[in-house]
This record gives sequence, structure tokens and C-alpha cells, in this order.
Amino acid sequence: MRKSIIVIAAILFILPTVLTSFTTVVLAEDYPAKDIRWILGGKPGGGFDTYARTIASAMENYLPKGVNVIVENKPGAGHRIAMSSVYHAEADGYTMGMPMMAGLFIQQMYEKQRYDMTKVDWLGMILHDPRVLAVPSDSQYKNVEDLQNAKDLRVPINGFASEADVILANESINIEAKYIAGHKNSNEAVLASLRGDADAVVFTYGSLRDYIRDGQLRPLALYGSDERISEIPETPTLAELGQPDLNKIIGNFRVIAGPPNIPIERLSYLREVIWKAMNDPKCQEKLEKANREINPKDGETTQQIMDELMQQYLEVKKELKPYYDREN
Amino acid sequence: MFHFDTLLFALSMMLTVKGILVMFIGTIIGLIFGAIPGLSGVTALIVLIPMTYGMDPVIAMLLLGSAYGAATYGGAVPAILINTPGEAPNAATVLDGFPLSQKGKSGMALGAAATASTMGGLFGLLVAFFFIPVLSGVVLAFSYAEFLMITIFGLSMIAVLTQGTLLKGLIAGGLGIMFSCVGYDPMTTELRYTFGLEFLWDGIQVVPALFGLLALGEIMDLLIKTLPIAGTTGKRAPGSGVWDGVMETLKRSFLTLRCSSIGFFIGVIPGLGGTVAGFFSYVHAKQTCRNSEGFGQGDVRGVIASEAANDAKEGGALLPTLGFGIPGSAAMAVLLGALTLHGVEIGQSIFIKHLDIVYMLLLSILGAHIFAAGIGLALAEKMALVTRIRPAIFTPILLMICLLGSFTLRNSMGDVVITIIFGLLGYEMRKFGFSRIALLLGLLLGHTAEVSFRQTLMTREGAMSFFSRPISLTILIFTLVSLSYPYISAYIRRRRKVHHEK
Repeated sequence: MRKSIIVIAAILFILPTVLTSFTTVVLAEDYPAKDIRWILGGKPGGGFDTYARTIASAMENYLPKGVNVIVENKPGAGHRIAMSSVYHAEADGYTMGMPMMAGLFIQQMYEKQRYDMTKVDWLGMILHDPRVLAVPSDSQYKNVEDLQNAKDLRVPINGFASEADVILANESINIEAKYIAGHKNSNEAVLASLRGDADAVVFTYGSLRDYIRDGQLRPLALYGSDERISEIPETPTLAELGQPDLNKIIGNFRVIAGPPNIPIERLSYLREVIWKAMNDPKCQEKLEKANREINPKDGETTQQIMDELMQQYLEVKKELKPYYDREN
Repeated sequence: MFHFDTLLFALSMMLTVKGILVMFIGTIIGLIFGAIPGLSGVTALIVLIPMTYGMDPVIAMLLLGSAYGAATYGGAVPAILINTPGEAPNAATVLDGFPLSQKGKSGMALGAAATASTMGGLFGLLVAFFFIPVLSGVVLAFSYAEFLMITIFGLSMIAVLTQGTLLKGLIAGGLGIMFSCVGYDPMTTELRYTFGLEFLWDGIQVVPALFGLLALGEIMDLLIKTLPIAGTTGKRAPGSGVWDGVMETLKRSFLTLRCSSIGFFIGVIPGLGGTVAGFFSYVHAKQTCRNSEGFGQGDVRGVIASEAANDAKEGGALLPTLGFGIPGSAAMAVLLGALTLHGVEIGQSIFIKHLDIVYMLLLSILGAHIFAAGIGLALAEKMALVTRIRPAIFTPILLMICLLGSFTLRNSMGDVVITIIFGLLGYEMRKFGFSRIALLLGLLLGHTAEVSFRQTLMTREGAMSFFSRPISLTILIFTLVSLSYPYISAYIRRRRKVHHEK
């Protein structure tokens, strides 16, 4: 009896040791063997954070046991701090990020930054969130034409660098406005328009959705989407307003990226895991509950979309410059 | 708008065994998170939200609301005992709370803080219950111009806080404003005064600076003096028990009420925050109370003022959060996320469709205040023992908590460096009689002042709106009057004296 207990104990002791040494041998060539860091430029509780934490926990289902995805918030300087720490991290597949694509690239076009968006490895895209031009529901402006004819319009934005594309889109359909910068987030800017300090707002559909549903804002135009959105069927797209080319570069690209030159096997493995996680029904359900849309694209497709996007930005570099420089 | 049956339903949900248990757990978690410098009610919410995924939304709100409601009182404990605010809004509590501890009266200060924050919290939430119908008018009345005027009013408080050493106070305040300019330009994203250092891009954060100025300076001082915080008194000073603190607060109900109202209104305006509420109300108390010379050297009224306001503010902050979906504070922003996660649509419709959840939220915060006060009062005597520990044993732990606290804020080593630099600065400032609070006010308000000034200039009315908007003009006049009041009253007194002598 005693002997058998000792034997069982010995087996129980030896077995895991053998097994783990075995698996480490396998994993030494294989990846991943330790936790993956996901560095975010968004604050805890915000949009970036909600997406990352939900997808991170779904990723763990498709990673080996014991490998976790740790979300780290490094807010500041319009995502530049987070991006530069992702960019300079070792390209071993253990660090990923969620850059605010358009803003970061626009800044890089005109000023030297500590990152280079053209070189990063793209891992996937969660959503291309179009922007919506909206006015307070009691506004005298009923459609785009009213805004085109209006004089001395005011539009609140967060910053000229992060929203240069908005200004470009507005001007492309002849909406002339002055922009009030310095709002911390879209909520503050919406409040400014509701209290009459500004006439119209342009933010992503995701952030204006609740206000529109609630009847506080009236959508007038859709920037950055080829088709109309079913929830706001009367709102025309930029293409319908005569500017089909700009659609591709406008909006918030919720993309996942890693440092440049991740070894190809690890890159495709990571892309695969992220792709599976984004398509996980439980993950999608959680995001839907949090009122966050998802329309996943895999790593290769994202790479193509981003390359194209940056190409198009470079094409309008000159046109965009005055909006980027403008302060008043 | 006021549905009594829904309220009763929420109450009956709360008063079940499960409800009370959930609330108790939430309160404990909130207290712990609030009391540890660097962690806050916001962190507590973020940690708890994933746990509520599977819960019934009403119970989830109960858990989140109680954790959140308890955290604000938790933050007062280290503010009083070790000169380190557990959360930024408790910064003004330090001003009189810590001197009270030094006099051996920490029990009294803790008792007063617990009572004042409960009363403030209750007041804020009760007003919130009835305020909902007129809410939009108040929120929409405050534009850029008003923001600027409120910050200028806040900066003018430096004069009140530094009576006697006004010049040094202005120097410290100016330094604070200069520090607030570090980081990227809020309008154009150009970098200013960052010396190529990445961690300065987003400016000098208030919380690490706060830890440095208040806590680190104190730690150094303790080590140099090698005496426990409560000094050599050893025994408890008479009239310094927890119940004395409770009674002191109850005796000053009118002060508590006034300070709670200030807190509430600052909470309603999104973007000003609890730290401002605490300071505003502290200065209000100092200006209006009789025999105010003792403020800053351990007057329990200072603790009452700050704590009542920073708890009442949360009631106010709930209104724009629930009504517009525009969070009135950082914690509210997280709470908002949690609500949408549970399928609750934010906006005016919440008062029609999800009134039970709104009431549950209010009730759970209310309940947490009472629970937290009970736990706080029961433990106050024990917690006060901290002030009698020898510094050699105590300060290394304190130093670690403090530096760790600034690190966890943004996972940034740079913030730790900021804490150390401000610690040295604070120590020297104290030695030479410069007000550290003036510097903090400058740092805190400088950014809002700059942004709202430039935003006002971008509006249609431009600079004229400072004077053409009635609320803005009123605050401006009020600031001028309160600044010149000491001189006017002195002048009148002198005139009268001359008159009499004639």
C-alpha cells in the first residue's frame, strides 16, 4: 500500500517534469512560449481598450495554455508614445500594438517621428469606422447644401493633426468652416455643438451612434464608406456627394500592428491567432454588447489596405498640408 | 420623472441577502483601491467590470456603484494619515487632515472625513434624484468662456491660500502654470519644453507631481526629524476620538451643506473634476468661517469642507453621464462603458427605459457611502496607529507605495522620476515657505485655462464672449470682488475709525 503510494507520487512528480521538458524542447523552436504584450495608446475603459481587452481574451483560447495576452495602457501624445514603444520593441512576435493609423501617419508625413508606419508589420484590422457629419437635431441646417451655403460655420475637433482628413473631406464638398481644436474627446466636442458653440461635428460613426439614436444629433453625410449604413439609410455617402476618391482614406482604421520585421513564421502564426480571435462568436457577441462593431480583415489584407491608404495619403500630401499646419 | 414604485423596486432588490453581500464586497474593494495611493476608484471599476459580464445588470450596477462610492472615502485615509492623497480629489484633505494627525488627532480627522463624505455623498445623490428634469439647462450653460473664468477664479484662490506670503504664493502658482505648459500644444500637437524626452510629451501629470510635492517631501522630513507623525505626544490628545470627529461634522451641518453644494455644481460641469471641487470648497470654508487662522495647521473644518465636496461632486457628475452620455469624471467614463456593456443605452432615454438601473446605481452609491463610513469609523482608531510608528520602519514602505503608485498610473518610469524631482522641489519649497498648494493649483488649472482661452477666441463671438455671456461675466465680477474684498473692508474699517475719532 505504502509502496504504491510512493510509486504514484513518484509518477505524479516525474511525469510533469518530463512532459514540461518535452514541451519546452518543442516550444524552443516553436513560438509562443511566453506572454504577449499588447501596448495601447488609449486609456483604460475607452474604445481602443475595449476592443483590445475583448480580443486579447479571445486570443488566449487559440494560444498554447499558459500564454496570455497582456494589455498595457500607455496613453499620451495622441498614441505616439505607445506607437514608438511598439515600433522599437524587439520583433520577436511578443509585442503588438493598436495604432491610431491616420493621425500617426499624417504626422509622420510632415515631421520626423520615432516610428515609421510604412515599415510596421500589420497583423489585422478590426474595423474601418467611417466618419459622420452631423448637426444638433434643432439645427437650422437640414442637409449638406445648407452647410455649403452657410457662412462662418464652427466645427469642434480634437486636434488638427488627428483630424486633417475631416477638414479635407469637408472642403472637398465645399463646406467652409473654422475649426475649434483642443477638445479632449468626441464627447466634449459633441457637447460644444449641443450648447451652440459649434454648428456641426464630424466623428466616427461608432462614437456618434448613441447621440444619433437618441435623437440629439442629425446625420447629414457619411465620410469613408462606400455604401450607406443601414441604421441611417437617408445619409448620403461622400461618393454620392461627388467625391468617390476620398472615401478610402477617411475614417478611423482600427488596426493591429507589430514592430517591423517579425520573422515570417511567427508573423503568420500571430496573424492567424488574431484572425481566429476576431471571428470568435463569443468575442463578437461581447463586442456587440459593448456597442462596438467589428468587421475583421486578416493580416495580408490589412497590409494591402494600409499600403494603399498610405499611398493615397502621400498623393494628397500637398493638399493636406495647409490643414495640418493651420491653427486658426 | 420621479417614479416611486421603481425606486421601491430597486430598494427591495438591494435589501436582499444577495444584494447586501454584493454591496459589502464592492465597498471593501472600493475602500482598498481608494486607500492605496496610485490605485483609484477608476482602477477598481476596471478590475471589476470583467467580473460582471455574466451578472444581472441590476446586480452588476450594485457591485460597481458600491465599489466606486467607497473609493472616495478610502482616498481620504492616507491623505490624513500620511500626507498622501489616495486619489487626486483628496488632495485638499491633506491641507488640514495631516496637521491634525501631527497633533495626534488623526482619529478625529478620520471620523470627520467619514461623516463629511457620507453627508456630502448623500446630499449629492439626493439632489441628483430631483435635478434630473432641469439637468440639460445647467450643463449647456457652461461654455469655453465660463471654463476660463472658473479656472481664473480657481487661480485667484492662491491669494486666499497664501495670506501673508502672497508674493511667494504667486511665484509658486506661476511655476505651476509654467509646468502645465510642458508637453504637446493642445491645439496644434507641437511639442513644448520636452527636451526630447518621450515621457514629457503628454505633460507633467498631476498625480505624480502630487505624490512628490506632498508625500515625498513629508517622508524626507520624517526621516530627518526621526519622530513619528504624531510627534512625541504618544498619548491621544483629548477630544480627538473618532466620535469627536463625527460630532464636529454634525455640529457644522451648514458648512457641510454649503461645501456639498459647491462640489455638486462642479461635478455637473464635465471637465473640471474632483480635485478642483475639493480646493474650491476648502477655500470657501477658509473665507467664510470665523476664526479661520487655524486653517492649514489642523482645523477639522478644512477636512470637512474638502471631503464633503469631493463626494457630493459624484452625484453631480452622474447627471451629464446618464443624461447626455458625456462623462462628468474619469470614473463616470468607465461606468458608462460598463453600462453599455450590459446593454443599457445611454442618453435621455435611460430615464424612461432603464429607470430601475439608474435608481440602483444611485442607491448603491448611497449604500456604499453608509457602509464605507461604518467600516471606516470602526477601523479609524486602528488605522490611526500608523501615525505612532517610528519613521525608520515606516518611511521605506511609504516611499515604495508612493513610487509604485506613480508608476502604475501610466506604466511609465518617467512618472517616477517626476515624483522624485517634485519631492525634492517640495521639500525645498516647504523649507523656504513657498506654498506647494499654489503650485499644484497652477499645474491643475493651467492647462484648462490655456485651452479654454484659445477655444473662446475661436468661437464666433471671440474674446467678447468673456463679457457678453452672463455667467462668465458674473464669475469674473465675483473673482474681482473676492480678490479686492480684504482691501475694501480694511479701507472701510479705517474710514470708520477715522470717523469715530473725529
